[in-house]
Amino acid sequence: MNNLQLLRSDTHAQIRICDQALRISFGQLVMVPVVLSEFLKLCIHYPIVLAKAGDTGQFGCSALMGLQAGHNLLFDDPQWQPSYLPAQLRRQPLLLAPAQQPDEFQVCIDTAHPAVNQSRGSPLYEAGAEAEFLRTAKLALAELAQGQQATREFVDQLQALDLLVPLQLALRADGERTTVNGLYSVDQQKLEALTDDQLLQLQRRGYLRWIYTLLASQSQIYPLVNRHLQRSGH
Amino acid sequence: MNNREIKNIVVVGGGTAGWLTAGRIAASYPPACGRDIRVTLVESPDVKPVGVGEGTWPTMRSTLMKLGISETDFIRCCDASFKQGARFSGWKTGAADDFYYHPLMLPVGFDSLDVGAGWCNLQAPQSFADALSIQEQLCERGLAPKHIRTPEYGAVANYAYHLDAGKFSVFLAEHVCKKFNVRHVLDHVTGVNSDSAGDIASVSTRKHGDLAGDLFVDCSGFASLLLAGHYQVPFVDRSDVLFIDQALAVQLPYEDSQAPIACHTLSTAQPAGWIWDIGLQSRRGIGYVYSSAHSSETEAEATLARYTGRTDLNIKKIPIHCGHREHFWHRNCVAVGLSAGFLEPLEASALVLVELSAAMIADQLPHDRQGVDIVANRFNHTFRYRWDRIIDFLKLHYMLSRRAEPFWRDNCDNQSIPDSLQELLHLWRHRSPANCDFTSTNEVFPAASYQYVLYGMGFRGQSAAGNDLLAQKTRQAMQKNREQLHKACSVLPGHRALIDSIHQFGLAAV
Repeated sequence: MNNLQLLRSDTHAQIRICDQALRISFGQLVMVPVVLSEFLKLCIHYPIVLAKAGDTGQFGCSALMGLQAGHNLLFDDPQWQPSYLPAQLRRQPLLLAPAQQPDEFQVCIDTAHPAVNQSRGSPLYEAGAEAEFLRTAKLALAELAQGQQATREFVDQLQALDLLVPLQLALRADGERTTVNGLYSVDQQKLEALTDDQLLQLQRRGYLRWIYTLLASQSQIYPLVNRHLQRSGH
Repeated sequence: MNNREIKNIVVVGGGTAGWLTAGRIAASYPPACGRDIRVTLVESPDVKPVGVGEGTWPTMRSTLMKLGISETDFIRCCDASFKQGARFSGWKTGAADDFYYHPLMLPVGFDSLDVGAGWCNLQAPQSFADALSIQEQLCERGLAPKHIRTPEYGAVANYAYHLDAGKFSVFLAEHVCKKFNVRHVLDHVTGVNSDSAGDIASVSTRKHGDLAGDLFVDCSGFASLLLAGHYQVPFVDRSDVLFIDQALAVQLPYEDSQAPIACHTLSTAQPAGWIWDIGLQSRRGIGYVYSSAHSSETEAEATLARYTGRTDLNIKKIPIHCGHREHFWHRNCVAVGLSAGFLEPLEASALVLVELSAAMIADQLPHDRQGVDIVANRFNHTFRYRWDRIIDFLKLHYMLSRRAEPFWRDNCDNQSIPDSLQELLHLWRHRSPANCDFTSTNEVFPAASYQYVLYGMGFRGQSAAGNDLLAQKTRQAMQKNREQLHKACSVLPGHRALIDSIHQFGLAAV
């Protein structure tokens, strides 16, 4: 259960965020929503995929971190240290809630999050001023807020040009075949078949580089599959 | 004979028949295809299409896809909902718990196992449809056949649609004209003009002169302006088999915007016929189809009022001439839709016949006038077979009833049952309906459909007893069905909820 509170330097002066507990909570997440500004940094570690939201069926971009619900294959591994953490993870356990004015947001903290405590980990405030953890989290929140609209428009454009294709991910182990469903990418053949005008449009809107970054990130699926097979004892 | 090339197709009449046919032909012959086919559709602004709440078959999904129509647009514009089968209430005895389902999914294991015989032998209390298909339960629980993440036209459970035929016609017209460059003439046809050989050369209109064509498609509805009006092709009356000759149709609003929508067609038996009840998004379409030889109009109106609980509804009266033309394609004129014939809407066969006709015309469009005669012959043969099979299948719903009213007793009279159907029933006393009973490529209903109705109506064949292997495999199939049902129930949304989501979010193409 969440317990969202408006972040205040007085009420929450003593709060600390336990790094280990954060990592454990990340272990539940298989798909982490991302924004365009992160793509170049993401593609070195994570496959960037498209998937439909559960209750709306709307496409969004995510970093893929596992192949089974609830099993993050990266944070499971204590040896794994990413050089880049998606903004959605960097902001935890903080989030933005709408404020009074339109287009204004206020920072909230989920005090029920297991990482929130009074004794261990990074402080939010030091001598009344924002500590490094809080500064980093707020930057992540800003990046996410700024990137939502642009990312949505990018995904809309991919759909409008009929560029999306389901990823056929079949895992074969011990003669058993399981398929991973619900992941999508950009169809390279359809991309190549676009007209000059359509390509120019994509280039002008800055989308071509994100498309190619997304496609390049697909190679990160193989290490993920290997981790999955190792984890299941194969 | 002047062996002119077939280029100009004139469709006379709008409505679902006219626009589906015009669209299907135009979609098959795009500008760059090498054959210069021009399609013109002339429809009268005065003549309204019949338009009651209608059901389709799953084939409509691929028809809409062939026309390049988005399922999201279709759902949003045509007051459409999903249909997973039909529930027949009161057809056997009329008792309160008397019902059976004819679902749209094949029974589990049907392809490799004689589940019909297996189920009969097991003598399990669970109905055939409920034991071997998940759809009876999905319908009873008001669950949709897919979820918001399923791509357009994709299914978790096989489905068809309920739609508002009037809105559907308008929607099709807009789409077909925009996408396929079909010429739309809004005018009244005043006459039909022959050439010296006896073909139709053109149809005359009030304001647009004569519309000339090489091939004419008669989609003029019950009036059948070309095939019957002009060519006098006789009508074959089939009311000796199917007695219903009147329909009283009403529209019933829901109590509120969140009232559940039935995910199946309800067909409730009545003293002299049956009542259809189709749930669209915004309202229900309900109608009593009955035999005037077995009920007066007053009695029929009272029966309808008992069902709806209302006496204030506006009733549309539609006479039903049960039967079809002696042949459907005469010279250079082919009839599609009501102009070809009509039967009671018991298994939503009207629209599928339109789809099949449009497909055959489009796929086999003759190149020249000599080819027309060859294709016409095939078309007539194909569709006569189909009308006969549909009539057989509809009669199957009646002939096993144990209801006492004269309408129902008369329906069991052998004189009213076609020989083809009597023969099948004889064979089915000792084995289940199988693919070998339906070998023509022109079959309309698969063997599974006959099983659903046959066993739903209480018929039990007696196959070789003591077949332990069949019993075991049938039990396994029933277990698999239970597992699939459990899984489906955990992911599928409510029907109304899915429709609302589609309005709000739309379905993705992939």
